[in-house]
Amino acid sequence: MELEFTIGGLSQALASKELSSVELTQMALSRLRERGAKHRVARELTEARALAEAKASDERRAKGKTLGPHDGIPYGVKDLLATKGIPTRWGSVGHGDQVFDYDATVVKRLSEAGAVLVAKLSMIELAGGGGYDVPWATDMGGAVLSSANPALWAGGSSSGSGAAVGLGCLPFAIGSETSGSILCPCAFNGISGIRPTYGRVSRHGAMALSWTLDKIGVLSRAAGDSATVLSVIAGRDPADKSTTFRPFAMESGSRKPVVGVVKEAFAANRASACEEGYNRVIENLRRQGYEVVPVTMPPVPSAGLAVSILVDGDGASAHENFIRSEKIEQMPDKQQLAGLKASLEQPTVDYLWAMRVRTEMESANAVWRECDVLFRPIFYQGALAADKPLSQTWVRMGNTDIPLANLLGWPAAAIPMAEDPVTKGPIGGQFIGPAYADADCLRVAIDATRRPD
Amino acid sequence: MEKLTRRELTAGAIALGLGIGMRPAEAQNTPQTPAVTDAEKLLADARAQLKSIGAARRQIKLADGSEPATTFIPERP
Repeated sequence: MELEFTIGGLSQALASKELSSVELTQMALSRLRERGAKHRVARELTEARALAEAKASDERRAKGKTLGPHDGIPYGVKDLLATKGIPTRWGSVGHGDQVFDYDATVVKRLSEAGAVLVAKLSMIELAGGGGYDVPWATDMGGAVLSSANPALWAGGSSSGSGAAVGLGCLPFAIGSETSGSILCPCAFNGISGIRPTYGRVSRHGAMALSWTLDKIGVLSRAAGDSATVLSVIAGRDPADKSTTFRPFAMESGSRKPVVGVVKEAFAANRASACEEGYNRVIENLRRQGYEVVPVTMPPVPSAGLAVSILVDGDGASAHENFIRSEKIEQMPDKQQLAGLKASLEQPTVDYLWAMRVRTEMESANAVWRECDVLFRPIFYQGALAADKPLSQTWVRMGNTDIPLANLLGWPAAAIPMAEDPVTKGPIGGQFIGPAYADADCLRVAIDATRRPD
Repeated sequence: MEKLTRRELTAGAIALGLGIGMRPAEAQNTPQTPAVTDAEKLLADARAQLKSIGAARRQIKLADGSEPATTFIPERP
């Protein structure tokens, strides 16, 4: 019988002693070495640590002292999270010798829950700071390839996290998003995920790109797994003062969240496959008793401009030493390199404009008077070619509120929704909610991915 | 709010996609992979891009007295 590579499926297999955590960990490592390597998903396998953690998990289980559903389950983290004694390269050749002497808070919390770290997963260099134009802006010697089709890109910047989960090497992985970097690989690999509310998850030990935009989140094979992992990693961390004191819990209230939909530009973007998948999701939700209502997004100034300015300003400051060093010349994407250098010259008045316009954008919260969550495609088109610059391929992908939602700290849960009939490139959907409504987003995502009866 | 030109809108909108995405003007105007050997030209392009973003944002007028968002919101239990 095929092992279901979800946290639920694997946890059950461990509990029934169908396999041990050491065996499961070896299986994950083997998958990463075989199918994973062809897609360039892992920058570093953490085998010694993984086997030690798995052995400890098996010993706990033998004594009847398991730590919960994540005990003994293998996972990977985007290579921008610090791991004690293991290289953390930020997707960057110029940071190839960087090793921290501590674990990021997220890694620490997962270890405390018994999860087994098996890999540091590949990513777009510096999470795309400076503006990247090529999918091969990595330290992997090429683009990370979509789990659905190796001719396609796995998305960015949490590329390896998306592809490793999509390929079934891992049941879940940790990624990060500044503006799209969890949602995009979820979409391009046909998997689920959660970009949590800003401040929900500690960034201690994570590379900074933008201090007021960066979020750590989860990519998983099942939407429900994103919820259980979020419950482990969420919560106040004194080491990251931006974290909230508000607890995260999946509520099981009887009232289903009201799902809002906006007028989508399917026709203008020639997005018939996306439209069909989108309609199937709505139909599925309605069959389960969800109310789906048309809503109008309040008009807001250009969110994309503000994101661009904030990321340039914060990124230039966070990486100034690197930008002014000779190491920057090793970047494979010379356009990104130039963008980083230029960003040192961003006027302060532009930065403050972006922070002020961000305040004005809070008017968009008015949409939450009409619904509890918004349902939108992540992009109108499927995963893009892996061997072409994005400036050639990024066509009719649409503007689906990714910058606005990131500026306002809104959470979003990703689901697989459709695929391009020609390229087989996956197309994703997202449930966006107001700040701290992570549980509502996940609840609807879990129901939306249930097979219709 | 004044209307933006197509190029300026693109400059802002495209930055959305990928977590920062590609440089907007190039995304619209460069038909092929840039010949990435000319670092000076790329840097000049990037500086021009920075200016074009500044110009675009200046067309979006802020309300008098509006204040910047804070870096983080301190909360107490």
